[in-house]
Amino acid sequence: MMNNHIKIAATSPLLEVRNLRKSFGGRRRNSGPIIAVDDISFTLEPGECLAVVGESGSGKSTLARTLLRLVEADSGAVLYGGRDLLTLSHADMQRQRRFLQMVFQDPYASLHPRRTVAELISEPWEIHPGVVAKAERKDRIEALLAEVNLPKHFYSYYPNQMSGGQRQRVAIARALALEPKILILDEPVSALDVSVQAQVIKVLMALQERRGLAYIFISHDLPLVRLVAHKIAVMHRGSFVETGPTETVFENPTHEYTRSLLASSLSTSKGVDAH
Amino acid sequence: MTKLLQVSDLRVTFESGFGKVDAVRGVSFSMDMGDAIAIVGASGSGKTVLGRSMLGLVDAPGVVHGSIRFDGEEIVGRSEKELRDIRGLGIGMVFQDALDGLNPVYSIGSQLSEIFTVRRGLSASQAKAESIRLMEQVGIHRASERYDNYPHQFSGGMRQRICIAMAIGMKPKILIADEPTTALDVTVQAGILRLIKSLQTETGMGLIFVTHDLAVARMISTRIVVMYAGQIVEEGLTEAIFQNPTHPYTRALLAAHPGRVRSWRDLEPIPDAFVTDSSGSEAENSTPQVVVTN
Repeated sequence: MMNNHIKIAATSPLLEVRNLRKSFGGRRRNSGPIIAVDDISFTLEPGECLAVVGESGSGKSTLARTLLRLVEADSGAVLYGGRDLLTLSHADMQRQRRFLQMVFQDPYASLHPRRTVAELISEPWEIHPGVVAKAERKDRIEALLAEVNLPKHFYSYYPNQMSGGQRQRVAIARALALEPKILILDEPVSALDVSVQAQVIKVLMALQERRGLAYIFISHDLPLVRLVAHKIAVMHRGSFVETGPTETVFENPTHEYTRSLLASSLSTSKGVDAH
Repeated sequence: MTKLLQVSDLRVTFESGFGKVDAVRGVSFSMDMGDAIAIVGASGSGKTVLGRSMLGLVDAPGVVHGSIRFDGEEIVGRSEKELRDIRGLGIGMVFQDALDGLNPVYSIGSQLSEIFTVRRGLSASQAKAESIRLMEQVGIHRASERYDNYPHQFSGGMRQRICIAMAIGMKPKILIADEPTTALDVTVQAGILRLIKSLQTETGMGLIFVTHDLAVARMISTRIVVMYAGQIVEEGLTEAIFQNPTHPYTRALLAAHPGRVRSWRDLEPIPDAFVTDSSGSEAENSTPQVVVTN
């Protein structure tokens, strides 16, 4: 018990979320508040991928937005680098945000149609000018393109000249521009065809290995989650109803909701090459 | 024997500022009552245009050549008025986005019962009874209470159920469903697929199901047609295709599916092919270039 304090300090996780809560509304007479994020706690280590699975309306995206303070939490703590992000001033939070970047679901909506790839990737440096010196930016953009498996000549492309898979890889390169430690991936491939999902997933996973990034991977695609996540949190009506290592959750789901999710998930490997 | 649907050498071409684009290039297949065909392909493979051409829904500048015979009657080249009768009585369609199929300012009930008053000449009260029966059939609980609701009061899955109800209301011989579950959650998706499957077995209608997801195709279909660059590259019984895919593109599709591999390292991405960007010279070429991975 006495050593506990020291031990926690020595191995404190990259990100620790404690009792996070966020509700909406409740001012109208007949309806109570909707609790979108209900007392959620978890930790995240470098190089780790946590999948948050659940249906639309379960609160997954609100959780992501609350972590980044795109919406303000009601209570709880988000500890990163020894500080509680929820208590930082606006300017301090802005500085910290470079370490927690987000990739959105729809690359058709998240990229400005009138910006070239080079402009899209370098835009974050306007807000955080200290990250990459001006003289090095062109080289850095090319390096980032290479990291997401896009050829150099994409530098001057506009979004409408690219496929959905290519656009999403540009969005990933842009998120990497600030050298984050954590990427929050909100359904990063569900707007894409199965046939191009694979290229984006391979890019993401190779990046994680190379850079030791931590991922919060929000998804409803269970076969995919099984391939990429180290641990899973099943979200239902704002709460984590089940958490655990990926294989444990798939092999021995304990919560009824997890079982119904697993039962609804379709498989291409019906008895052919069962896991 | 007349086939329920006989498609022969179907070609759909779009003339655009960038040149001619052949979305469908010489597709032939046929189906009978009770068949469930999944048309599988990536975006840009021409699968949606193929589905829409069967309803005469290819808009200008699209031009359709070839032949589509429904119950022996030619669809290609028919007037809008004739097409409307064929669609209403014979072919129903469910689209990807359930919101597009419903008018937001009319109640669910009035949109459903319109089918019966306009098409079958039923009285308002008969049409209401039929509509409620239909809502129950597609799994809407307490249908009579929900009859006067508006589309925004329904969830995405419930709206898609209403679209299915509208499509099967006239007891079509063929139902064409274009990615009807892509916009929905997994749990809702499974329910909708089961509904379509059971309606199909119950009524014996033919089903054409357009999807990019092989897992969905496997659940819903008895036969699979794989499309690539506007052509059919492989066709066969669903289980046979899963057990023994012969065309490299089909194999590539299977290898790219997360449900088929044990590690992300084994995923085989399919390189991008801008099929719809084919230039004039490429369009002349009748055999599309098929990307072979591994």
